[in-house]
Amino acid sequence: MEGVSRPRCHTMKGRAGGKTGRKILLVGNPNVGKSVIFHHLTGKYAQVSNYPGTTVMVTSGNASFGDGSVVIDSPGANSLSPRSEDERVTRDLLLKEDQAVVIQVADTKNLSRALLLTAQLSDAGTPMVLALNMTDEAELKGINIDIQKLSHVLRVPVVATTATRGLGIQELQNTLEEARPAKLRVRFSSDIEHALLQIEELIPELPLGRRAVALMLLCGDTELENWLQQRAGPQAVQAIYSIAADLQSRNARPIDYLINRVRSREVQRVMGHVAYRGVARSNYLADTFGRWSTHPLAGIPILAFILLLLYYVVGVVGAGIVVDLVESVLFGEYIIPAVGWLFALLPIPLLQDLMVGEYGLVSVGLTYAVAIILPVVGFFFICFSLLEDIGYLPRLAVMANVVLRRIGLSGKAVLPLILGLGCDTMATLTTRTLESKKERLIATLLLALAVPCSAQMAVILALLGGISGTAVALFFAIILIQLLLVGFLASRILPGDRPDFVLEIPPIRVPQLSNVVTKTLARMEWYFKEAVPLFLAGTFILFVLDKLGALVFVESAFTPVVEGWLGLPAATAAAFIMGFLRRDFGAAGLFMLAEQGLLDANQILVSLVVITLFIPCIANLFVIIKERGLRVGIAIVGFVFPYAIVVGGLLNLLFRALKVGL
Amino acid sequence: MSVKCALCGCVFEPEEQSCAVCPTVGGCRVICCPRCGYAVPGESSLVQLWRRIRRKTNAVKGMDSDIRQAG
Repeated sequence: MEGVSRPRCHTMKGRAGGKTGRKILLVGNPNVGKSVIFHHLTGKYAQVSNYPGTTVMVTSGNASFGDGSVVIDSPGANSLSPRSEDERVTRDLLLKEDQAVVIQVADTKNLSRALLLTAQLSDAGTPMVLALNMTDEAELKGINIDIQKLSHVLRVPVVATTATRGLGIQELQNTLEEARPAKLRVRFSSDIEHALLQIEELIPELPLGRRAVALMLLCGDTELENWLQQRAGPQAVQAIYSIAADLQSRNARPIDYLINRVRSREVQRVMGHVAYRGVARSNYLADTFGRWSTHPLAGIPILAFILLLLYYVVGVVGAGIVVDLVESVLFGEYIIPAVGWLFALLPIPLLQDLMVGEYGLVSVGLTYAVAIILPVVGFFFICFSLLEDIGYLPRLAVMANVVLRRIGLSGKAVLPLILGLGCDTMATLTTRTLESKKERLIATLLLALAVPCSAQMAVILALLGGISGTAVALFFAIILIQLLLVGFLASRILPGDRPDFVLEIPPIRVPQLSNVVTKTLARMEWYFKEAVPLFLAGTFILFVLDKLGALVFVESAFTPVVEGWLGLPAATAAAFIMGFLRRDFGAAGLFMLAEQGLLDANQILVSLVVITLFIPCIANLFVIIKERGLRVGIAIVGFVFPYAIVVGGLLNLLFRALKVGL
Repeated sequence: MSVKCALCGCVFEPEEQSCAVCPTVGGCRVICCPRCGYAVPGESSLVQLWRRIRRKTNAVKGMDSDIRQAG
């Protein structure tokens, strides 16, 4: 960020003084394919590092076209007047890499959003090339852009690319030599222009155009203060702030709003010249389904229908038919007797017990993992892959956002909750991307409390499959009420803002069989590799506790709570202990108890509610402590554990008081 | 090969993952979207095996046809 002056009008040929050591900065809105273009330009060798003083990752690499250029992939930004850490890093990169040429990557489907950024790059005077990416998707939507006209209007090279297929990349490389500052100069109202001139006079020669920096300051970019103090001195900074304050006092609306409104009008004017609506190649049924599935009212029956379908496929077919076949026939009649016979040859009863006893590695660990969970999870993964391939998950996130907004939760916090339906541990990790501490805390708490992971969900559906559809509806209603109640209370107690939520919704499409099969296979393999060792380890711990007499002690210690308050048999305590190791392991323990006839329908529901709301599994707990600290970890466990017991007990009391039998 | 996130639509290369921040052991074969964190397991080894067999079969077929043409 040294004060190197920049020639005001130049091409790359004229300003870089040769190619060697040139820096190419990829800039663009979030999710426009910058990273894919980066990989085309650099090959596979990239350095990923945190931008100094931030947690934002910046990727850089040597250009593969061998002229010594370095390509830098900046974080997605909608504006150079930063509102997030990502945008601040992009702005700082532009300030720091003052000799760089910019490739602005734009999503052709959303060109007006990209042109708002082009207008700011134009003010900055940065030599640039515009890459219109995702042109194939735009064509499908009937969006046509006159590239030559756009290039003429902006006075910069414009290249159409489809980065995912490598189309247009060579042309992009070739046009880098022709990069020049864009001419999308926006004229604001006279008082804003006057203030801009005053501020420009107060700031020194800068790597970015003075007008761009003056606009950032008028838009309330306070983070430039230190940087400016070093270069212009405190008096100039004071004067700039008083100009901005004076301008604001003469306008009812915020200055950044007024500036963006004028920019938007200018962009719309340009769009009117270069964009044409063609015929969209759309599917009426798919579009209607897509629209309804995000609707706050119509979306609920669709979600209910999907849950019902899951219940039939996973609970009735997967658990009822396949599990019965694998567990009773394959394991019950062949594998366990064969292993028992094999170990009976050994004169060590302890070893026999370890393999096929009450807590045997084969009779419990392997049977739970392979005979019960794997088939159930397999069916669940087929359904999950289908929903994923159809494009339903982002719509679920949008609908959840609508519901959660009403209780004070909103924004990106919805995403980790949806991710938790896959794996709570991974989802807890992603809470670090949330902007406010409040959001991070609430999302972590709700994940630990009320979001069952995919494997647990599969076993829950399998268990409820043996009861009725009413039990499924009741279970999800209870869990949803807890999620909304705790989320509502937490959002009222914890201070903080509610950021906006922006998510690209892909079109609804017919699922491809090959996609569904490969994704399901990958998930089953991953699950098998991850779960089986943990199941065996968990069984071994239970075996040791049993042999030491500790399990009986734990069961008797928890008897007043488990039997008295929850109305469950004492043996359920072991399943809850298993649940701490892995939640699905605990749920599988309940599955076995139900199969043995030790749990009636009411007890199954109570125990499932408790184990779902129960303390998170050990991996999730470690991640909570790592991400939020030990104090938060202890506080979450300290809240979740009694909460699960209280809700389970109240449900048990309610069933008894109303004499309800499921 | 680019991956498109099923949740947020972000298109990314598997190398872009932020594995450094993940506490799980390396080589977990789960691909996490760098934007929203949505996790998808890497390609199944069964599918990889199938692809290898197909590649080899195609290569052999190609050699056979080359030999036939040369003959």
